[in-house]
Amino acid sequence: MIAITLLLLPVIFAIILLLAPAASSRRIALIGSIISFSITAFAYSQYLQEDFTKLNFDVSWASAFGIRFNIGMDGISLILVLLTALLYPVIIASTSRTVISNPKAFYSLMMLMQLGLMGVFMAKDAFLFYVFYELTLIPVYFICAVWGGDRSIPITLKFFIYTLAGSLLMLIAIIYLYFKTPGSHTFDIQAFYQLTLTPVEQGWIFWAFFLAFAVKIPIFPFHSWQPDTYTVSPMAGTMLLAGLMLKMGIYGLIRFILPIVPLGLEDWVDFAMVLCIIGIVYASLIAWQQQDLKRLIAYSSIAHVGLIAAGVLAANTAGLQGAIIQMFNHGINVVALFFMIDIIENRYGTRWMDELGGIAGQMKKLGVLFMIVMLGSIGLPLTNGFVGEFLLLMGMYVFNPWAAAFAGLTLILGAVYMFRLYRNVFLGEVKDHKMTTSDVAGWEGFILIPLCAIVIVIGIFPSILLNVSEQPVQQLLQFMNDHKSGVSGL
Amino acid sequence: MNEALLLMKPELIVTVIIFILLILHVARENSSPAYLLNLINGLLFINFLCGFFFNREGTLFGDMYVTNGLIVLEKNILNLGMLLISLQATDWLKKKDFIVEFYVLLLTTLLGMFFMLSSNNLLMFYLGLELSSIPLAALANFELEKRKSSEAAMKFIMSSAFSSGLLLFGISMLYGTTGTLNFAQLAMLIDGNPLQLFSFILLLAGFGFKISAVPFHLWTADVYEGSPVAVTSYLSVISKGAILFVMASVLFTVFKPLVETWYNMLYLLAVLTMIIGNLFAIRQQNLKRFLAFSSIAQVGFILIGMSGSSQEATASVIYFVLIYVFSNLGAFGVIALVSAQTGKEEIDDYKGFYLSNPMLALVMTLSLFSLAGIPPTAGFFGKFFLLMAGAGKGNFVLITIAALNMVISLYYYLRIVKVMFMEKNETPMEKLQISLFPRISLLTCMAGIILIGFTTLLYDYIFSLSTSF
Repeated sequence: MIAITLLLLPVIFAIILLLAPAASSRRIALIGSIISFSITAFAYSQYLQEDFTKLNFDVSWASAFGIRFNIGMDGISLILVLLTALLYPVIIASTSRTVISNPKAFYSLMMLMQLGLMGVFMAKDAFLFYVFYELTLIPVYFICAVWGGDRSIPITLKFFIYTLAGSLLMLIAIIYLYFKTPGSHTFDIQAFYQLTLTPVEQGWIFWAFFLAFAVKIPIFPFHSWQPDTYTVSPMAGTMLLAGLMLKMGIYGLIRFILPIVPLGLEDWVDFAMVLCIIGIVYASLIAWQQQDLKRLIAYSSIAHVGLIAAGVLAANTAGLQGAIIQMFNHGINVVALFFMIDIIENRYGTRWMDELGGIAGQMKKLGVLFMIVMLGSIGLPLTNGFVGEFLLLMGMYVFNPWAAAFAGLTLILGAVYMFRLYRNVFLGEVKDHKMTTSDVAGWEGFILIPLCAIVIVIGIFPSILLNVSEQPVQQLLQFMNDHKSGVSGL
Repeated sequence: MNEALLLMKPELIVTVIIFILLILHVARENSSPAYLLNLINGLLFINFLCGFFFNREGTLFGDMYVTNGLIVLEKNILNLGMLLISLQATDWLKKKDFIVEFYVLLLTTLLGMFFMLSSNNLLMFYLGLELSSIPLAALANFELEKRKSSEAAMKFIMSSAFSSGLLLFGISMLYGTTGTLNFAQLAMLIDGNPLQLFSFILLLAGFGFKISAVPFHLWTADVYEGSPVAVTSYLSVISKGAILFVMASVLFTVFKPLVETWYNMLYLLAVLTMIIGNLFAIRQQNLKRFLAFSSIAQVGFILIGMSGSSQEATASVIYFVLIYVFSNLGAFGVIALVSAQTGKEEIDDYKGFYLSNPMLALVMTLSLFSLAGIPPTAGFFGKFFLLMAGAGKGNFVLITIAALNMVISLYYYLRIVKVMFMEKNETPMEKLQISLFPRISLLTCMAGIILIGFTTLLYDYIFSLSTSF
């Protein structure tokens, strides 16, 4: 019941938005997203009480091909649904300063996007997963292209075609797996886990899935759409892309690649891992050179998600647990960072590093809040980033110490470029003489303080998330190992 | 007697409407266009509704004519498309003097298609086909004062006559080797001797012309561009849909013994049609020409579905054509409105279309998304089921080629969306009036595009009917 409500709510609110007057659009969207969040919080409590009955929903959809509308949440899904529900009010509230032309359409698209994201994280049927995965593309395309900055049109077109090309490969793989299922075929993901595929087949399917998700995440060298798209998108669009949408790719890696094609993974994991590590180092180095704050965060995001993807590919408990908690953390941190950059751009009219300076003196609260999130982002102990990155590196160490060593560079490089940002923008001389600039106030604080609180709370009590994902992660690895031994026993 | 009448109900109703129009034309010579259009659309709506009641199964005329649940469904789809096109054409027809003639010709072609769908005999099939294609040439020429329209009609009649010739040649050879033209008997007698193979190739080429599969597509773009919008949409949706239905039934009944042979041929046709259609669509500047090539590419997709096993192939082709009716007519509906009120048909004319006509731009966008097959529009489900039908045979190379083509097609469909939403125009189009009839038609198309995908019960229903093959 809860699951289907979470999907229906965005649809209902999208319709309300289209009917209601444009002036109240933001408020309606905000109410909708807060209701979704409360329901998700309820789902979380149900999960903790191990009452799973309300979290699942299953009806037949197209019986001719055995497609079911089958949604539900295990721990991994729950954490990502929670992240979506948590970030949505933040993202919607963050738009209140900017004047948005045609707000009805904008917020309806945001709601549609929420439907897609929730659907992807909850789908238990591969076909359903694909439909929701693609459904997210349309709203984000329009949000970025219509409300974006200069040159947003060609850039978003590239983004759209890039990602759709990737996911069509996934569609072929899903159809292939479907025809491999015994009896009257099914798209059930659990049934895919039981398949015994030859190593050659697994190699092909691995690549079909990996390319689809690598474009979305993005993993080097499929990242070329990302910095441009992040830069030209409106801030809400960037937050959606960085905070939530790329999590779909990592979630896909966990759900599809590990349990379905473990042998394919085994054959290709070194290659994929190298790509991830190149991405981590390369993106960090580029981030170091950026002058545009938004672009800097965009590149740092490639480095962070590269590490998460590498942790998933390592395929052990620490790596997976770290990946899941770090997905959550990355969502919180990156959205908070983008939001603060938006504040800076709004107050000073620029987000170029050499035109800014000494902000901490003028906006003391912002200086502190930025510091907290930044420390979380570079993984200082007692912040959320530390827990995630520690687990990720541990997982990679088990996989291969050298991989961990190179990936560990991200901690150092991350500190370098983030501190460079902080020094140039927040410290130093004031370059702008508008001394009247107001500090973080009112609702901005309402958004930023909870986010900063989450950064610290998860840093100190990571178990509130780790406990949730522990059991499904073990189950997943169990599937994977059974599957591996099953195939090699043939 | 009563039963026989009910069996032929769709044909009889269309005939009655034709007679009503002719009599009316003589009796009340100067009735106003608005009155005529209201009356005709009312009649077509009744015609569409009647398709759902008193349906019978059976054969007539010594096994020449057959009808069953599936054929009734196919006729209903054509009736629906006919109604939608007629509603969209009102703006254009109001300015014309020959409303009755237009509809008489249009309904005659529909009658021909109905006979073609119900044929159980190659002679009957040929009769229906000719009845449906000759009036179309006259219709293509309906913009009497335009040179391009005449050119379109000329090209259409030539290619149509040529393909009919091929079909007839193939049919005669088939008769020569088997001594029968009845579908069921042919299916038993075909054993794959060379003459039969040759006749099959001729038949397939004939079909290829009619559905404009590559390499038989050369007439399509010119005819689509030159004809009036209503006729273009009729050609691309109704006429093509009807022939695809018949093609499926002929392949799966008559040529069932040769399935191995025609599978490879369809494979080749599908690949060529998709690739050529897509590559040419990228470079078009005229919107109708653009949709001509996009419809060629869509046919390539349909051929993939048709290469599957009989039940899935039939079901997925019919399901796709139904969705195609909605998505293509959504796009053509907008073009018809714009063309009737401003006379503009180039892609560049649509720059900044969103600013002056947001609703129409939205309709166009949804239709194009559906044509491109982006979830969750109906077009995606249509293409997905086609792919599933094709993949049932285990040919994943074909499916991969299809997926790559979907990417190419996405590029050019999005190009139109981009032009409408994001490009500036010095001479923007004025705000267009959307009168009641086109409005109903466009709303129906939108409802179809949004809802059909989610109610896949419809697919299950078609699938269950398809067992009758």
